[in-house]
Formats: sequence, C-alpha cells, structure tokens
Amino acid sequence: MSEITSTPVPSSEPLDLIKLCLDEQIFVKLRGSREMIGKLHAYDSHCNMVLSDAVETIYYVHDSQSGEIKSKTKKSEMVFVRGDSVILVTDAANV
Amino acid sequence: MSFFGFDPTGPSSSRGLDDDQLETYNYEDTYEGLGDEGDDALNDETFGAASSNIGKDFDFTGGMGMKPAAPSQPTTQHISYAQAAQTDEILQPMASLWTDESKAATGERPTEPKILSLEEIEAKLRGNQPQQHLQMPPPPQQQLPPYMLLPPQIQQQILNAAVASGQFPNAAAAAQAMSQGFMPPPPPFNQGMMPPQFMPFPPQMAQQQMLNIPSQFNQGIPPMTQQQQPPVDASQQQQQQSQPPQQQQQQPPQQHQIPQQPKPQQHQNLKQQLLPSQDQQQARTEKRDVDFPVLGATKEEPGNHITPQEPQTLPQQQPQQQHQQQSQHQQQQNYRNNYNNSGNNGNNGNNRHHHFNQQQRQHQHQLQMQQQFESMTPEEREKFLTRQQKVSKITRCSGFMNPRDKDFVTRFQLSQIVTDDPYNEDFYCQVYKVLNSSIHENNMSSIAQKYLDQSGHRLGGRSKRADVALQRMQQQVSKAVTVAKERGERTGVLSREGALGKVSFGTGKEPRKQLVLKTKEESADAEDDYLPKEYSFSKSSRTFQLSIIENIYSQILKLESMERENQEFTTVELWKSLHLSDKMSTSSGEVIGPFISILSFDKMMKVFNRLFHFLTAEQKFQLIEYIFTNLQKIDVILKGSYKNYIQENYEVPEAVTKKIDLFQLTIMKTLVLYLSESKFQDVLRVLDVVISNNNVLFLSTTKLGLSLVTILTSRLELIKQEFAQSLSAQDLSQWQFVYDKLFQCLEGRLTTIFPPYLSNDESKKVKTSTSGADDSYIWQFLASLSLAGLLNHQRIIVDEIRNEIFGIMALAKTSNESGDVEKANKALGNLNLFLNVMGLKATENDISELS
Repeated sequence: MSEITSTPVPSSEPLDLIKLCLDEQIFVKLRGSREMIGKLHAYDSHCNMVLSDAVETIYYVHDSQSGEIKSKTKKSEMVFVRGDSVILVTDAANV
Repeated sequence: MSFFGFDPTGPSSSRGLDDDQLETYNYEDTYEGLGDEGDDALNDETFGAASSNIGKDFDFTGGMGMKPAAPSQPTTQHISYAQAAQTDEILQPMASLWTDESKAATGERPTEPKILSLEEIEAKLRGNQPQQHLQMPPPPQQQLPPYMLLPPQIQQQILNAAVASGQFPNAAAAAQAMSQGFMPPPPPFNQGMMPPQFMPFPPQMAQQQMLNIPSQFNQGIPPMTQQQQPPVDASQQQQQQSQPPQQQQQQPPQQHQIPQQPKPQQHQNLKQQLLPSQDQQQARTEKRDVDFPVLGATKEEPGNHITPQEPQTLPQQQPQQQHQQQSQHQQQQNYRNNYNNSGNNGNNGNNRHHHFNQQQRQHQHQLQMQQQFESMTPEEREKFLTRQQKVSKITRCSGFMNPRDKDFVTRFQLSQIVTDDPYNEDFYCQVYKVLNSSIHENNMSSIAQKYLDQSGHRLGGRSKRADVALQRMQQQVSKAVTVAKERGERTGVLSREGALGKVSFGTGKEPRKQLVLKTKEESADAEDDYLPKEYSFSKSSRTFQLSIIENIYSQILKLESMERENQEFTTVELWKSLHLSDKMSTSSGEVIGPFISILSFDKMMKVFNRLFHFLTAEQKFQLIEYIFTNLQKIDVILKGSYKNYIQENYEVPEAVTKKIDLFQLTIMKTLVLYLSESKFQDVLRVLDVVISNNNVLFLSTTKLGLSLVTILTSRLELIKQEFAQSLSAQDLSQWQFVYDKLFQCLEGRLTTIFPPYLSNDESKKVKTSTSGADDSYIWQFLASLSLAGLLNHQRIIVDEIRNEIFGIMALAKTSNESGDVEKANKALGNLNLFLNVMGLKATENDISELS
C-alpha cells in the first residue's frame, strides 16, 4: 500500500465545490437575513438549488429600539432556492 | 442591378459611409453555422434560370427602344403589376404544397429547405431588390385608420372640426394627421364603409385598381418610389405635390432612396435585417404613406385628403412620375419575362388563374362584409369597429417574415432542442420516454410533433394540411440534427486569425462564456503535477472524501454512457478512483483506507451497486475481501454497535439507524447477491478474513456485522449440505477450522449479541424507543451458527442464551393473554427459527421435540 501522492481533483471550477456537497447537508446563507440548512439535491450554474428537509431561519429585528434580533424557523420538505438570493454555500459540517 | 433607368455607376455621397458601417456587422458567430450550406435553391425559381446572367443593362422599355411608353396605357399595366407582385410571394409557398406541381416534384423548396449563408443572404438581398417591395404583402389593416374609410363628407366633417378646434393649422395638415392615424378616432359612422380589416387588397392590388381610375389620379401618385421615402417626409411629400418649386429640393433624397445604387441599397437592406424593430417601424410608416393616397384614389373620393391645389400642380409633376411609373412597369415586365423564360410558363399561368380567383373571393368577401356592416345597429358597429381596431393592433406587425424566414427561425429553435447525445444531455427526457411510451415512435416525428404542439405553430396555415406541416417540420428536425452533430465537434472557443482574443460562441446547451477558463488538459500541459493550493485537500478531510466520491460518480456515469452505447470500456480508471491501496488517517488518529471511510456516505452507499456492476470478477472479489477485512472500520457498522451508547441508555441515534437501514438496502444487498453466487472457497476465504482481521465479539454487537457473518456461515453451510460431493476434504476441514475459530470468539459471551433494547432477559433488558423492533437477525445468526455446528456447539449455544429463550416464551404468553396474538406468533416464530435447526419446537408454555 502506498501513500497518496496527489489528491483527486474532479475539476477546477468553483461550482465543483458545491458538487462535492450533492446529497449532503449544506448551509446556505441568503439575502434578506435568511439561512437555510438542508440536503442538496440539485444545483445549477446560477446557484439555483433544490434542498430537502430544509430548515430556513429568518432573522428579524424584534424591537427596533433595543435592536433585539429574533429568529423564526420554517421547515420545508423540499424547497427550491433561487440562485439570485444566494450569498454563501457551504457544507453544513463546517457551520 | 439597376432600377428606373438610373446610372448605377454614378457617384453616391453616402456610399463610403455605408460601406464602413456595413463592415462592422459580422454574423458568423450568431448564425452557428446554420448558414453554411449550399446555394440558394430558389434563386432560379425566383429569377428564372438566367438570373445569373442579368447584368445592369436592362432594357426597361421591354424591347421598344428608349422611347418611354405612352402614359395612357393603364389597362395593360395593371395586369403586370398585380402579376409581378403576386407570382413570387404567393406562388412559392403554395407551390411547395401542391404535390402535383412540377416544381414541387423537383423537390426544390419543400424537400430541401436551404439555409442561407450571410453572403447568400446579401447576394439575395441585392438580387431581390425589385421584388422585395412588391412581394411584401403588408397586412392591409395596418395602413389605414378605420375612419379613413369613412365617406368623404364625414371625413370632411372631422377635418373641419379638427381645424376648428385649433389642433391643426389648416385642413391639409389635419388631413395629413388623420391619414397617419394621429387624430383621435371619431365616433363610428355608418355610411356603409368597410372597416379596414375588410380591405384585403395588398398594395399591389390597390395599385392595380388605381390604374383603372382616371389617369389624373393615377399620375398624381407615384406608387413605388414613395415607399422608399423615410417617414419624416410624409408631409413634405404632400407639400411636394402641392408646391412645385419645392420639388427640386425634394429630388435628392428621393434619388438617394431609389434602389439603383447597389451599395447603399444593399446596406439599407442589411440594416433592415439587423435592426428589425426600427426598420419595421419605418417600413410601416412608409407603407402608410403610400397606401393612404392609393386607397383614397381607389375610392375615387375626390377631396377627402388631397388638398384642393393638388390637381392644378399635377401637370408639372406628370412627366417625372410618368417616367417612374413607366420604368417600374418595365421592370416588372422584365422580371416576368425572365420568370417565364425559366420554363415555368404553365405554372405561371396556373398561378395567375389562382391569383385571379383569390382576388375575386376577396372582393366578394369584402362586399359581403360591407353589406353586413350596413345592416348592423350603431352599437354593433361600434363594437365591430373597436374589435377591428384591436385586431389591427395585434396584426400590425404580422406578415414581415416570409416563409423562408420562418423556416430559418424554426430551424434555429429546433437546433437548440435536438441533440446528438440525448442520453447525456437529455437524460430525464429519455428515461421519461422509456417509462411512458409503449409504442415505439419515430424520433424525428415525435420531436417535430412536439414542437408543433408546443409552439402552437401552424406552418401550413389554416388552409393547408397539417401533415404537410408536420412533414416539413420533420425535415427541419433532421436538418437540425445534422447541424447539431457537426457542431458537437466544435469546442465552443475559436481562435481566429486576426482576432485579438478568442472568439467564443454560445449554444443552447453551452451558453457563451464570460470567462474562458483553462481546461485541465491545458494546465496539465503547462505544469505536470501542479495543483492550486486550494484544491489539494488534507487527506483526512471531509472534502477529500467527498471529492473521491464525486470522482467515482463521474467515472461511473462515463462507463454507464459507454455501456448504453455498447462501446468497449475498461474499468482501470474506475478501479483507480476507488483508492483501495491508499491509506488515510482519521481525526482520531486511526489509519484506514479512503474507500472504507467513504462507504458511510449516503451517496456512496447508493452508488455502490452501480459501481460493483462494472468491476471485473477479479476486482469484485478483491473489493469484497477488502470490505470484509475492514468491516469493523466502516463507520456505519462501527456506530451501529449498542456498546457505543451505554451512556445514552442504549438509545441508538436516529441518524445512525437510518444509515444502517440504507446500508442494508444498498451495499449489503449487493454483497448478499454476490456471495449467494460465489464459490465455497471464496466465501470461506472471506469468512476467514473477517474473523482474522476483526474483533468478532464487537462485530456481533452490531446488526450489520452480525448479519454479514450470518450470510457467510449460512451460505457455506448451504453449499456444504447441497453440494457435498463437489467439495474436497480439504475444503471441509478448512471450514471446520474456521468455524471453530468463530465459535471460540463468541463462546461464553453469546448473550452480548442481544442488544439490551431487544433482549427479553429480565435481568438485562432495557426499554428504549427501538424496543420491540425486529430481532429476527439475531435468531437467524443463532440458527446458522447452530446449523453449522456440532451437537456440543448447539448445547453451548442453548445453554448460554437460555434466559433469552424463556424470555421470548414469557413474552408470547403475556402477549397472547393481552390479545396481541400477532406479536406472540412473531416472537415464537423467530425463536423456532433457531430451535428448529436442532429439532426442537417452542410454544408459549414449553419446548418440545419437532415431530
């Protein structure tokens, strides 16, 4: 048995990092103070994504004077996330 | 080609500029090679066979010398105008559908729709010049606002009212505004006038009629040249007619527009193609300008829009306009002669007849509508007119594309739909088709049918048969497929000589890229093992594991596509991508193979069967051996042991149970299938590997580990009992040896195979959420263990698990008493699975020998 000399690189395009997360839990940060965690089923070059068993967390200012921020969560069995609202995508294990 | 007798070599002030602008348009990229085809098949049809020989030395007088024909020949003229205008445009699409026609039989148009290259289009535009203006069948409704069709006295009333209201300086201006539709529509009137939609005369027909009216009117309107005038001089035109001194000023722009100078004209046409919206608009306005006086003349309504001075100025205008008209007529004549020379005489006659019929029908229709309109009530008329206005709005832009343009657009759209490689690019559609179509249908026709259905496209139009349209579409599809195939060889990036950068072009599948990234091959050439830092993952990292999986997936997809196409393939790459000979250290410092580490990912489990399918027999056995060697290192198995969860009251996390279930459905299923067809020696070897390399006691505390051992032992025992003759004594003694090893590992600690939550031993059992789950795998293991063992082995087993046996019997009894017969039977069934092997049988009360 030999040690690995070079690691496999499927391809060197940025979106391939998302490809690695297919069928895995991912964390998506969205515009409008939203975050989502769910299993990635599909994505495209626009970062449109289909997530299953997704939990969306929406942050909002509860009290504008004290600046208190609260959050709500929303669960969806299967959800389409439109790419134009995506800010960040990462493996949920990193969060 | 020259028109109207102008000298084509004459200098043009705008020529140089036009040429420059012309150069900037390069449509090679956008046309996607669709135009890279042969010559225009229709040039001959359009111009006659001798079209290529046509020079600039036209004889515009039709062989009568240079003397202009007498202006008083309207009756002969009118035929030629209508003819020339109608033949080409109407004839061709019709002819292509008349299968009995000689032309259709030659298969020029319908069977071989040609795509034009840019050069050809250019050439055609140049060549087509005379016909273009005549051919264009503009929708008549766009030319006249409805009230223009009102009777003269009412129009006059409107005019007067408009002038009185101060909107317009004088009646002429008001008339002009009204003619162009700038005036608010008056309330509907009912003087028996036709609404615009029922003026189905194309301009050439209007002209034809016009030529029948007194020459005074006829000559007051230069029919063709005005079409070329830009819209801005619409009012100037009027002035020009009314004020002779200005005529000289108007002359230069008019000359400039006359298509006698090939270059500017060509440019203008190109521009018309390139900037459709602008030029369509222009064309629209132009037509309005033209048709307005023409239609007015047709009505023979004096004074409704022509200013009173006009007749007086007419004589001065006459010579020039006569000449224009004359030369135009000659042009038509010339064209027609050519046409006839091409040997289509019969056809032409046929068409003439057809055209005449059409004309008559239209006329009848028109009369009918006129009568209907007269018999309507005012409300109905109002409705009718508003509806007509709506329709005219909608259809304002219709009719600008000829059938060939439509064909081109259709083919362009189709070329994006069809693909050379449907299984890769259109995978889901293919699967859907396989699932849903019981009837095998022709691929081409299904695409064509689909396209027709989806686009609401009626290529043939209402009057033509749908199957013809379908047939045409099929031809389009097949053409598009060949183009797509050719295109497939291109990379999408093109280095052109003289270009500063690389020229990229987009397709539907592969949009034009903003950035052209270097491909892997290129970078590999540049520097062999160079990897950007961010892409070399630490070997223990999750990203590394995920990238291995992605690599395996891409290999499998590649192989699957090759398999579908019955191509030869090797599994070398795939085997390499498994990284079986590599090692990596986990976060806990343990050294395991990358492949073992990725087996716990859901997507790896899901792909395992597809992966296994491609391996050679040798590779399969190697892989099996590898997996069984590292059985207890597999994350799912490791985490599945209840021993991990003593702190949590043996509650196995739900995520782990889900993974275990998935493993059973995927990897284990594949392994079982493989082992159930394996040879005795192979299975024995695998079992030996399991026992030698793993902690059997630990494995037996996991559901998966225990199940796998069960599979191996029962398979061995099955072969031994069924095919004992085929086994050598050495095999049998080897099996005995391995069995003893296995038994030794478990002896004295057999109760540990019962997880507390599944145990029925009173002293041990724990109530968890998974209590009462299926424990049959345990009894199956015990059954296979005792089956393979000797009597003393069986005695030891029964002795060790005595409490569990009695626990089950007690459970069955209480269940029966509480009425849950099913649960009791199930529990006893599992127990008897084991006891029957030894010839025993249990009931809820006692254990007896099997009868």
